[in-house]
Amino acid sequence: MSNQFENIVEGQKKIMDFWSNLSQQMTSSFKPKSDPAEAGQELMQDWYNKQQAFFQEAMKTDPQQALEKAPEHLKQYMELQSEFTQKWAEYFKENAGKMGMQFPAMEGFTGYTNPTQYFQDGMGHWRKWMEDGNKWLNEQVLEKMPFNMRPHYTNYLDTYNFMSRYWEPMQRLIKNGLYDANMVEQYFSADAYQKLINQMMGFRPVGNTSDVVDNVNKWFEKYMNVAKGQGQDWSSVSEVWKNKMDEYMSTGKVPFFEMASELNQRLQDQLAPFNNIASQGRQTEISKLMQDIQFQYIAFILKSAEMQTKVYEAGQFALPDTVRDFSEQYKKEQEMPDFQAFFQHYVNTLEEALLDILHSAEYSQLQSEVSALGTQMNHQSKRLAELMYADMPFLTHSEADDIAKETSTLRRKVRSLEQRLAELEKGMLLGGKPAVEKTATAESGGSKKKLMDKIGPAAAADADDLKKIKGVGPKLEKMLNELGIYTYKQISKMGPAEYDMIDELLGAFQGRAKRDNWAKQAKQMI
Amino acid sequence: MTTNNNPNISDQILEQVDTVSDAMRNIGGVQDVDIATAPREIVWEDGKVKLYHFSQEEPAVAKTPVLVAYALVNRWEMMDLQPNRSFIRKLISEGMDVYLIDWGYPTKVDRYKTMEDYILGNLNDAVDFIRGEHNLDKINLLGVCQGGTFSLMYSSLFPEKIKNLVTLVTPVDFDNEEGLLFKWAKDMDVDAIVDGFGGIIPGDFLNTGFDLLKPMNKTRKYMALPQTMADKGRLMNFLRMEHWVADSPAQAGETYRRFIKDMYQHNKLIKGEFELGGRKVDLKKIKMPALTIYAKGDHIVPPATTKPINDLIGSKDKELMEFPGGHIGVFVGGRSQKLLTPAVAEWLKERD
Repeated sequence: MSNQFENIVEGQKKIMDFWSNLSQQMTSSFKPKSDPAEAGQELMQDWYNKQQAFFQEAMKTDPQQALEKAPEHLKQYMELQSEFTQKWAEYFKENAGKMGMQFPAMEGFTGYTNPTQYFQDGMGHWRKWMEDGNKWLNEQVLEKMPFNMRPHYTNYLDTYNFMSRYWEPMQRLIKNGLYDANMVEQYFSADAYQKLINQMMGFRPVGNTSDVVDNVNKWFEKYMNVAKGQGQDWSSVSEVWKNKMDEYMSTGKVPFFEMASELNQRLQDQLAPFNNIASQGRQTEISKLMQDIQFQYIAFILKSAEMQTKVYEAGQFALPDTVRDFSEQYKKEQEMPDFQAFFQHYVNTLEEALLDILHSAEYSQLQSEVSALGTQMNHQSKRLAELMYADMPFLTHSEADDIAKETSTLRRKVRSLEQRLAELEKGMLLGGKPAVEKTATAESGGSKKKLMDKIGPAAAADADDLKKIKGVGPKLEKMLNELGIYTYKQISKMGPAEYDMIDELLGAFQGRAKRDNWAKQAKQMI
Repeated sequence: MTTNNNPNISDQILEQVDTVSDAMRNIGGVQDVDIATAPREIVWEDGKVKLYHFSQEEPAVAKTPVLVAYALVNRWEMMDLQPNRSFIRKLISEGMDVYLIDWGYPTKVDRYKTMEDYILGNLNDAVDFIRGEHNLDKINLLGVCQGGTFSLMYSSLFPEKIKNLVTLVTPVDFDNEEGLLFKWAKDMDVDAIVDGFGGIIPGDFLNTGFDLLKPMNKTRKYMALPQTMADKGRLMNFLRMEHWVADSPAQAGETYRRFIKDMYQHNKLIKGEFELGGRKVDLKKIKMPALTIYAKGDHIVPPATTKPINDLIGSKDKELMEFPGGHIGVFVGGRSQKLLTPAVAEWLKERD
């Protein structure tokens, strides 16, 4: 939203500048030689009072009402300015001949010593009013958005504002035709540029490599402490780690994967006897998991940094390219774009560049590795937490998993039994044994009579909405109606024997009446 | 703002203030974002899966009802997103009797739910229910996107239950490099991901993938927001779409794993190597009339992945139809209302 408001403020500023300049020019033409001009004084005072009243009125209401009235207010404001300018011009014309006339004394304006100051204050009011409205509007938009879409929108706002801060230098670049590729480095810090792309792409920055190294070191130390607690001598691995670190850091090159796998191997060698002795122990698994997580973490961070670097590299020429395009246009037509057009062009150029990299096999591979590492690490961490809390009375992921597995097996079994049952029923009917159905009908005739004797008859005209009873849907309601059951009163008289009869009569929805205790529900409905 | 002194600058500002003022009034007046408003009732359910029957004011012209099977990815509400541009409503107004299967929102307990459970279980149950209700041997099946792939599989295994088959923007040839999703899925370490997520793939994971297909789409959309918001109708449609995108169900891990591996990575369906519940799925066994619709500008399911359906199935009465638009335009575009939906209904009615 900021763009619209900024445009308005921007336009307003230009109008203010225009008037401000005009009045300065006009005032300068009044040479302070003659008597103070009463008329001029009055004119200024009148103008001041009107403006004061206008702003008081315009800022009185809440942002929404104020904005609704904004077109009207702005029109009024414009009229006010035009009126003043006109009067001033008349006044000027009238008095211009009288050389030596003094400029009306400014002391009459409470607190104002010159018109420029006055205009700037007016401008400040507008700006504040716009900013408040802007804030309010953004909040409104966010409130109406689903919560998981909100970060996308705030990211966009941040990005837009971030870019607009560079708009002044960008304009100078466009005018001067500077657009070399180093521009990104010159005008954006590496961090700022990363932040920009991160916001656009929804990436989270991994930080710089030395932070990663520090992090990994911390992880490693933590891990060593846990492992030490298990009574092993880890000094050699620790030392290797430290030496490798010192060695590589001094050269500025850190071949992590090579190093990580070497250390991993050493750790495994050292852990082997311990794991063998205590192969059943939870501690063993914990220590193994921590080891895995650590190396997955290193790999994840680095792979993801590599992936993000690819994206940054792809996007780095989008900005200079955008400046170049507009700069060439400026050379030809001497016309500057507005910020929105610039931003739009930048976004399109950036997308083109990004799509190039997103389509590459290299990126696809990296993305796959990053997501696999990330999810695996997440999984291992959960497993670790589960092991740590294994003695607590929680339902763990693995237990829930067992239940899910069991549920699925049962679901499949039910399905195959249902299908088998359907086939058998069909076979019996086709096999010239309609007796099954007949018997059922005969029996159900008996059951139905017994059931109706107990619950009593009812007419369709008195029907209650049986769907209000939990467990009864439109289908079941229809079946009940067909049996002659229409009212809560009838259902409230049911007991276990009647539930069984319902099951028998309907064939479907077995056990539902009992499970949901229909009679009790129906009693509450009456 | 251009630097040259535009004499109409105050007009421009007035126009902008008008826009913002309208936007503010509109957004302030939004109470509820309504989607999927076509009246319907639940006629059958099994766990999280529901079967809807849409209400109609006039009795349907067509006597064969149509079952709509949407994808597991994203929600079927796309078919009824805006009241005035609803695929479902239009289908009904064209005289069709419409059912729709809602797959629900899988949770951890569904991680072992398989493609068999979905297709041989849920879909088959829904088809049987409708056949029973209408006392018909065969009904019409309309599959959308991944739901279309499911519908092809189902129709090949149960041709005796399907009268006419319509597939909308349905991928069948996964050996494609043009669509980014197809490219990425080939490199995906799906085992690591399914296991890593604990067997249930979060909707946000999928949404991020969709976002990256056009990385600046959101930025562009938000840039145009003031103008969008100044129009009450467009504002509501923007919010409806935001809600639809945000409402992305998780995926049952085993089904996801199988779909990525057997479809995207090994393209088993068109090779005739895909099996469901121990039965080979042979597309040649689809002999009923079939209508295949693809969207010309589809960047999610490119035409090249859809078109081969028409050559692979065994139907004699078959038709390939091009829709001039994108994946989403098939459901919410003006052209969908004017051209596509009536054409689908017409095609079905001719074969009723």
